[in-house]
Amino acid sequence: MNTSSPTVHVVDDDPAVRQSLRALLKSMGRRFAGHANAEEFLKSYDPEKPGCLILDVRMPGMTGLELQKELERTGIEIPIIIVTGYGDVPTAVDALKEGAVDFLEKPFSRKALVDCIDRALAVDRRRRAIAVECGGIDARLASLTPREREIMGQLIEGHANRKIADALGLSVRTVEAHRAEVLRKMQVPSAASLVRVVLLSQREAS
Amino acid sequence: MRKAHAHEQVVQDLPRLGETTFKAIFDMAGTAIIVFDLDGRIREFNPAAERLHGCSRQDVVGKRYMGLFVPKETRNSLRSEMRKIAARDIGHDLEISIHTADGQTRIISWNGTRLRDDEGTATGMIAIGQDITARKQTELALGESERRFRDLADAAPILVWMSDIHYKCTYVNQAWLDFTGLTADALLGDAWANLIHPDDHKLRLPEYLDAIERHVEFKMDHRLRSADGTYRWIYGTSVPRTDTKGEFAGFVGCSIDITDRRRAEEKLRQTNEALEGRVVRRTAELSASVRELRSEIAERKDAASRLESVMRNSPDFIFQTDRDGRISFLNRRLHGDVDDVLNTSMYAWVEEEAHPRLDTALRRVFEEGVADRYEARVTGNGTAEKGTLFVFDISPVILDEHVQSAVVNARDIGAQEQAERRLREIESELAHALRMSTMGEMAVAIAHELHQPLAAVVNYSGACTELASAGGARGTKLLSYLDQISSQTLRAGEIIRRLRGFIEKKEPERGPLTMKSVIEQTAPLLKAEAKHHGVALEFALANDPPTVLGDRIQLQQIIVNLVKNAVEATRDNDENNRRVRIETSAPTDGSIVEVRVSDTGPGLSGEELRRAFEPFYSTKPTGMGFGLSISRSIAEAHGGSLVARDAPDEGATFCLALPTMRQETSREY
Repeated sequence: MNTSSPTVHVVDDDPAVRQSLRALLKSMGRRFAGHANAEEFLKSYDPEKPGCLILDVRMPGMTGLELQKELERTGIEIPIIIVTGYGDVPTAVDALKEGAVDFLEKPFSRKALVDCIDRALAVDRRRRAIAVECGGIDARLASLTPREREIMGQLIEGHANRKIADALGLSVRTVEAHRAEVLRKMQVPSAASLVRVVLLSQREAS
Repeated sequence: MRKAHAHEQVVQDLPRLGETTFKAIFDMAGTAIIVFDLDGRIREFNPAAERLHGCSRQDVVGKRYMGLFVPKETRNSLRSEMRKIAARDIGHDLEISIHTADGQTRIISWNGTRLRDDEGTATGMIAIGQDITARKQTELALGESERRFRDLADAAPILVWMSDIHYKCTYVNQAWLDFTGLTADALLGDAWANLIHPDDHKLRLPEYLDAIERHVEFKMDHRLRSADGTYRWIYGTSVPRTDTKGEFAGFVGCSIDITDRRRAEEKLRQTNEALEGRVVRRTAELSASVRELRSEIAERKDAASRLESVMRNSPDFIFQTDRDGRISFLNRRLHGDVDDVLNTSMYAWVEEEAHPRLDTALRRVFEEGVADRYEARVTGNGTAEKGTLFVFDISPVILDEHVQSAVVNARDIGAQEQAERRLREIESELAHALRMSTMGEMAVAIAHELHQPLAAVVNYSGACTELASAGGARGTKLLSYLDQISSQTLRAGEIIRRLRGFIEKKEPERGPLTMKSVIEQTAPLLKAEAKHHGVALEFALANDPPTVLGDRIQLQQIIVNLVKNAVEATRDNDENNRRVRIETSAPTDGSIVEVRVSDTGPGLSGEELRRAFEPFYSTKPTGMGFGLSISRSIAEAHGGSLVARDAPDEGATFCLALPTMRQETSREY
């Protein structure tokens, strides 16, 4: 297993449940980290590393939902699979409203578990890709001159060089030079990529 | 004056009338006429004068009137009067008192005039006299009467007054002045009315006015201001008075100060009232006593009839026997007639093997005078079914220090035994129903707890599948997982077994056990409940626990009930402050084992503490209020106790105390 393969975190106060999940996940070649309670997880979790969290809602001390809120508060975006006991649908609904990606009811089948984990890890991957793409966006935007920012605004709105030149009272050649400089500073290969990065970063910011 | 003037005219006209006429008048006149010379000697003396002086003319002519009739003491004053007459021409009136010749005293009113001859020379004097003795006497008498009245009135201790025809007060006596401290002027007229108490004045004025208008007698009580400013009660009467001609002349009245009398009357009235009050009270007391006596009699009758009723309706047989066991009284019919039993022997009631015991009992009762009790089965002879167990309580009836007879109370304890058994059954059923209900309430928690091992089993079996499909290179791991599957399945089975054990319907059965084992056996259920409510459950169970004799299921029921209550008590706490602790400890002497269940909940209020163990009392919205009541019954049936304690700023603690067994008999079942 290489270090970049995602880790499945399990927080459950029942050692049997924890160890059985460890056995199952390891047998499927997954990276596993078991935590007896929420505090333990918070102490050892490294947000830089990819993964997902299988979280039992009912635990002494900090409950699953409280941990979920704590993660939300501190900006940690690990995808969460909520595990509930028998007939605890209202709790599951709350968890989903709070942003959990899925929920499992104990006892759950291997397939259901694997599907949930795969979905959660896909979400994690996507988030991390966006984060990489948008990483340092503020610094990149800051390096633009006012004129370049103006031209970027026109590019995002999808205007052609000619139209931009007319709108800003510049020659097409000048606009082309600015455009090349904007794409270079924003580290994107094309205007389409520029639009995507800016929109993603705006969504992140909101 | 007019009279005197007329008389004067007559005297001046005399000479013109002529001698004859004058003589005739002189003789005929009804009034005494005497003519004197300058020396005061009598010259003429008419018949009227004769009658008046009681002597004849010839007896007096030429003699001095003074010497004949005038008492010595008045002669001087008469002389000076006579000189006044001699000095003037006009007539002069005077009154003198004389002694007549026939020895009477008369008062004469004289008019004397000097006489002159034609030349004007004084010749003497003429006096015309009238007998005014009677009038004088009347006047004198009147004055005396008036004086006597005033003296009397002033001396009288009563207030006397008089008014005129206009009803104005014209006279008040000294007593008035003394009473009011005022002068007569301040009382006369209408002024006196100001002294009447305003209330009485207003009240009685119309009556008074009516009475005086009608000139009738009037009486009234009223208050009058006295000299010291206080009002005193006055009883006044006024009557109309008439003058000598019998015409209305005003009112005369008198009043007396009745203040003291009224006070005395008031006091008398009060005394009377007090006396009457005492009489009333005494009468009431007497009638109360009578009532009490009546009710006492009624009560006694009642008590007698109650006693009779108790005797008659008692489920026991109550009878009287003599020394030989002969029955002389029986409280109720048996199967047959009471008379069939009377005079039979109570030996016939009980089976033969009990007869020696009955001998002993009768001996003790009659010879030692002490009560005795024994149990015996009956023959079925007239009483209950043959072989029924009765308890016989025999007590002596002592009269004059001798045991006169014995009273026997025979009770069918077969029925009692049965009733007690039935009660135990019902209690046991109730306890069972409550256990079922408790488990019903804990079902979600237990289901959750069951899912843990089941989830583990599914996970392990999944892992096994993965390993098996990947090829058998990892046999050790596979075996270990299968081992886990087995143990987690057992874990689930254990929970189910505890659950079944708890809700099992079983005859109560006691055996030696330890509270530690009782608690540990319920632990899976307790943990499930605690976890379900996010409560931390702590166990502090003493090692080397003492043994108690008890029913395992019933004791488990107490523990589950206490823990469940404790868990629910913490439901409003912060999630990190929901704790329940179960601890066992035994005091040093080891005779008692104590199980304490404490929580971090709000504790119990005074009322909750007091009523916690009442049936149907619950602070839980869905509680039936039976749990603690049954738990306490169970504890007490085990010879122990269950109490609640509340420490300020802490939660509640429930203490179950049970007596421990002696060491040699303790072996857990």
